[in-house]
Amino acid sequence: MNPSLRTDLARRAALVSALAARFVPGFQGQTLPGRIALAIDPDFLSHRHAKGLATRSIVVTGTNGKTTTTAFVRALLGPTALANRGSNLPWGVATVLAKGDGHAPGAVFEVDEAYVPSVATSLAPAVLVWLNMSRDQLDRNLEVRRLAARIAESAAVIETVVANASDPLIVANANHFRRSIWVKGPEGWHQDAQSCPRCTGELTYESQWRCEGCGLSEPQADYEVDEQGRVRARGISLGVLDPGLPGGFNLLNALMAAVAVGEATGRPIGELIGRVSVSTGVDGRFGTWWLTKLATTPSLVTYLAKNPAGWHANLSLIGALEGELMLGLNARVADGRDTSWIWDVDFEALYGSRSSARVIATGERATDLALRLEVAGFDVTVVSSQVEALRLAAHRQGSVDLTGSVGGNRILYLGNYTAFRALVSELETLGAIPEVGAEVVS
Amino acid sequence: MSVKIVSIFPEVLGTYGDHGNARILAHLVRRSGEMPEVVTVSVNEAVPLDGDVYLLGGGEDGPQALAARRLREGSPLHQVVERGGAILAVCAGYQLLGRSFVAEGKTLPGLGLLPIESVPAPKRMVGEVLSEPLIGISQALMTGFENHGGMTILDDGAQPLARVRHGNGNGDDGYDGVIHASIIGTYLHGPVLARNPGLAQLLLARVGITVEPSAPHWKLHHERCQDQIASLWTSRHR
Repeated sequence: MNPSLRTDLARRAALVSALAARFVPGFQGQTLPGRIALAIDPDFLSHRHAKGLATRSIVVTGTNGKTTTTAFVRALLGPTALANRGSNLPWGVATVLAKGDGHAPGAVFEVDEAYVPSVATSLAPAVLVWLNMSRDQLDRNLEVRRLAARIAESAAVIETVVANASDPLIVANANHFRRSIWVKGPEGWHQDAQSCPRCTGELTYESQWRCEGCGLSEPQADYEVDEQGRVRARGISLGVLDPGLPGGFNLLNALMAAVAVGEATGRPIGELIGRVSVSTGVDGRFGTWWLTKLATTPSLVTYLAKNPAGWHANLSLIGALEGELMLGLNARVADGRDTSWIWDVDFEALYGSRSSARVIATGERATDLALRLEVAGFDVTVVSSQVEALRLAAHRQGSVDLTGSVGGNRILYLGNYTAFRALVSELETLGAIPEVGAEVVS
Repeated sequence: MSVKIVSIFPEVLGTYGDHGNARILAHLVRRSGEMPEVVTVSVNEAVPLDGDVYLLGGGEDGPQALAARRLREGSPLHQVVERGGAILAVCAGYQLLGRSFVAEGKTLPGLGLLPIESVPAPKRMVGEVLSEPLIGISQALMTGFENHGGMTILDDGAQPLARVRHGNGNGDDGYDGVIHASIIGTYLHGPVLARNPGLAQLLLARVGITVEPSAPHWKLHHERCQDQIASLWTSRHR
């Protein structure tokens, strides 16, 4: 068959399946159309990408922050830009490309770390945003060091990498890229790179990190953001970021998005820094809800974190907040089947920052979490069903017991990937209404 | 009485949460009414000689090679074993206590404290393990999560830790781990002492601590065992 006809057929088949999927309740249709397109035309990504876009794309990868950073980039590119949302395997990208009509002003795709080489070869993106590398789903992705080296294999087809200068695993592999732009944020996670990724020598951390063995060291940052959001480019002030989401990690995500868009489009980065913002997180991340069917109509704040680095970052936000604490853990394939990583999360520090010792452990692996929290000092209640756990939290919040008081009519929830998704999808049963201004979850 | 728990190089031998074993032992020592002291030794520090329990965990190839190099430079662990000090070694930490292991394609010398050699396995071994302990602990089954690219061969006559009922363990012999002198070696993460309170009791009994683990600790053990038995039963009767 003529290659162009095959691509066209693949696209049509994908669109038909996407249309059909709309009539299946609870089915989001983000992956099936792409799977069909790739089955008909294995080179669908490169064929469709060459045809369907006026500009080259931006690819976002890394362990944490892919979905949120992609949302920042999309906010800068405009509402008609192509973008995937959370569905970051090749078929998720293919679904978006099939639906695109050829007049999109740009495209941004988040891509799972393990699929960067194959997707980058197909898309030949203008910019790769490389956020961070830490442990996540070791049962599937094997070891983080090998994964970082594999991402670098795609360097030949990528013009520019916008990368995190604080991450030794990225720096050790970035010299393969033709052009590297280094970005630095206010904080970092170092526990996955205590020995040098290049020579296994010892790494020392001060204001910058360095290997005592081979001399691998932190590159001078081209752009840097501090805790107040102030951005400097090699010492020159460029303005202040206000990304609309909490945490130092989101300041870094927003800055990397602005730099990537500046590189891909030629727009001045100073102007982009003033504009990079989202009204709320994607699919419930950093979301606030009112639970109207519960007697006390409490508010619920939902945080998603998938691995030790993500839990570390989110718990540092949650620790000081008033509210009934509820933590959810699953261990499905998408989460990683091994829950050992919860023992690397500093729940002892969380315990120290809370005004009350009580916590509810929930999700399919609540018992694993319960022992971890008991060891950290918490007074743990296990409720495996997340909806039932919410009911208990709502019943408890505002009340005082022997372990201390919990103020505010608020529940704080942090869950890992499938636990979080399950909770958000079940919120309707509790009459959840997203806070005004929040994006409605599709 | 204070119990000194020495966690060896957790920043390089802690990729799979094995530093949790130190947290669990400390928790159990507190439960027994005694005082735990957790000493975290980093790669550029000397391993203290006066510890009560020593812990080594799993790590990636490069960090494993670094850890073995540092421990060989002036291995205090030989003295620890001579005086009968308890050692729990998991995965990469287990391999590097043997005569040799392979990291990043190179065969490297281990500490020679265990009668084992580790070689690359044909296929990476990842998943839940269910086994029956071959030592007297207060549980009939053990569970854990394995994730390793090497397999371990025991010398003739060496005593394995457990008989594997599901999963791989050492890889080739149907067993997991080894018990030799005062050392317990295993491939199980989870961490292994979170999943197996009986093993934690055994380690602490060796330093004179008698303790009953908490109900949530036993509940986790039972729940994971039941999950494994259920999935074994399903796979055999499908």
